[in-house]
Amino acid sequence: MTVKIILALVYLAVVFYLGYKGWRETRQASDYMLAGRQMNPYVMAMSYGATFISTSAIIGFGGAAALFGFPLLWLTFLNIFVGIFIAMVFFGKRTRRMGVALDSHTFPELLGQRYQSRFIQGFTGAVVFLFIPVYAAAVLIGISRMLEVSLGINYYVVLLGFVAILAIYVITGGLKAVMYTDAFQGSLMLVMMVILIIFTYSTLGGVTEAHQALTDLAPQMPANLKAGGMLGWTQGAKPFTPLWLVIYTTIIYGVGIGVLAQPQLAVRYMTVASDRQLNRAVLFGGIFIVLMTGVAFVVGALSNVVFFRELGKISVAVAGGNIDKIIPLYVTKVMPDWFEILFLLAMLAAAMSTLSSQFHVGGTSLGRDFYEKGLASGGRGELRMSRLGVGITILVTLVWGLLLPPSIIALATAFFFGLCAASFLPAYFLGLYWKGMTRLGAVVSIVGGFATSFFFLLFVHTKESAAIGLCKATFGVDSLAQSAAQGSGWWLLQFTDPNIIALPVSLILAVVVSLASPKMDQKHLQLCWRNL
Amino acid sequence: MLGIASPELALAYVLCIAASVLCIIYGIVKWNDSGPLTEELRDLDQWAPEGEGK
Repeated sequence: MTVKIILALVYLAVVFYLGYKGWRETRQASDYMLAGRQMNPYVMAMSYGATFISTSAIIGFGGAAALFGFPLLWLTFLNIFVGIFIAMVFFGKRTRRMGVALDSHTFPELLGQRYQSRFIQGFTGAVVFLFIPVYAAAVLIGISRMLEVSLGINYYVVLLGFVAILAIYVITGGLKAVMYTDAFQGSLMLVMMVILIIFTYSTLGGVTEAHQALTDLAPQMPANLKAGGMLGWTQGAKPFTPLWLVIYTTIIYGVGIGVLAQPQLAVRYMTVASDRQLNRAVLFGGIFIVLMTGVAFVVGALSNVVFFRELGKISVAVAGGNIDKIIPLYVTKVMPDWFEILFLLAMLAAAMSTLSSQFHVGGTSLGRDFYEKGLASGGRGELRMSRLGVGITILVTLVWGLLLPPSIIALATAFFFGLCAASFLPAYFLGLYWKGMTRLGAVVSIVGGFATSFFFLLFVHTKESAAIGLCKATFGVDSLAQSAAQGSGWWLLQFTDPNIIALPVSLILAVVVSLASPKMDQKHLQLCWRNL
Repeated sequence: MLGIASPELALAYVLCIAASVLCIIYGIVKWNDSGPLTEELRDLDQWAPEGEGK
């Protein structure tokens, strides 16, 4: 225990030093919001990756891989190909150049200025500020529970202490402090995951041998999962069964595509000085992500073989049905003692890097986008307003952290990713590539995508609608799709991610309304495209 | 393939590694390709026709 606490203190000392370095280098609003647009490519890539990958990606989704097996590798593929390659090469470069042309400091500001609309900036800022604390609270709850168990410290003390530490360096140091600490935290995560995968494959006798053992374990797949459509961990699920829909629409499509319109990630494209940093970040990011989600999902699935050999039970049975416990249990029961400490610090790092960016983007959305621009309250004291915004975001997150149940982690992550994709992705992507995209098209797409996604979350997709309870209170059922004939397309909608519907709706609205509405001023378009 | 029963999931495994390799190769090939610097893009402002700059 003493060693754990000493190492945790050393870790925190490094984080504080980097936070202090960020604070010392922060003198004006562009430093605070965009790290002075001069960020190093390694720091940029690691910060992007560490923000992208939270504890929920490793523990929550790693646990899901123990349940569903290798189909989750499609998510890793999308994380790398879409989340890194497409994101940096096709979104990142244009975002940076257009961001400079329009002097945008935040993601909502980029959208607002591209479409010359204070409403778009204010609405986007409000959506980010209102919903990111829920996502942040889920990450906060996860890591606080973990530290409570591991260090034996009271949950509420951990929760408050954790928020206080983050508040100090995010409020004072802005994006520079966030990105410096992210890079350190990402590096720590990287080392931990490399050890984890090498240890697991060597324990099981090699790559092919490990996979073959998992293939041979298929008869042990629990009956309820078989009834839902699962065939085995390396066999996948029967197409269009309820579990196939959950895996492929919510987990793979929802999170895999949703990454493109994440405000806390998109803002990082604007922090670098040239395309060179983005090109190099593709290299670092490609290595980082495969070692994060790729390792978490492979180890999660293979934990079944290790547990079955050692304890005669598959992972979900060892964890007593709670899949969030599978990866921590695997580390505790299977890995060497010294690794447990490293794992704990890496999870601390994963949570802190994601939370710091969530607080930062929530704060700048409230301070700069919603308050200053959306409400047209002027630009004086913009640095102070953003700092105040970060402080308010942290307080709201803390309140959510005290209210939300612990099992909410993966749900809240998918919720925020989905909401952002449906609301912002078409307006963002078409705004970068299509001069014919109009202000009205963007407004209707953003509001329409948001409303559709929200309707499905509240009334159709059972996972959320049952948890929220509004559908039950209004119509007496957990989902409106439950009343349809079992097995029909309408009935299957309750298992289908809202984005399968909401994203195409948002895209169609963007294109159709833009074609039918007045074009944007030619001079403004020239300005937007000036650097492209 | 690779001890994975479903060819589709074996493909997913291979594509994860292939996508990483693609990122590495892209990063190496474009290592020094900087495009215009942010500073240069900003400097365009002073040459922009009236009403076009910020």
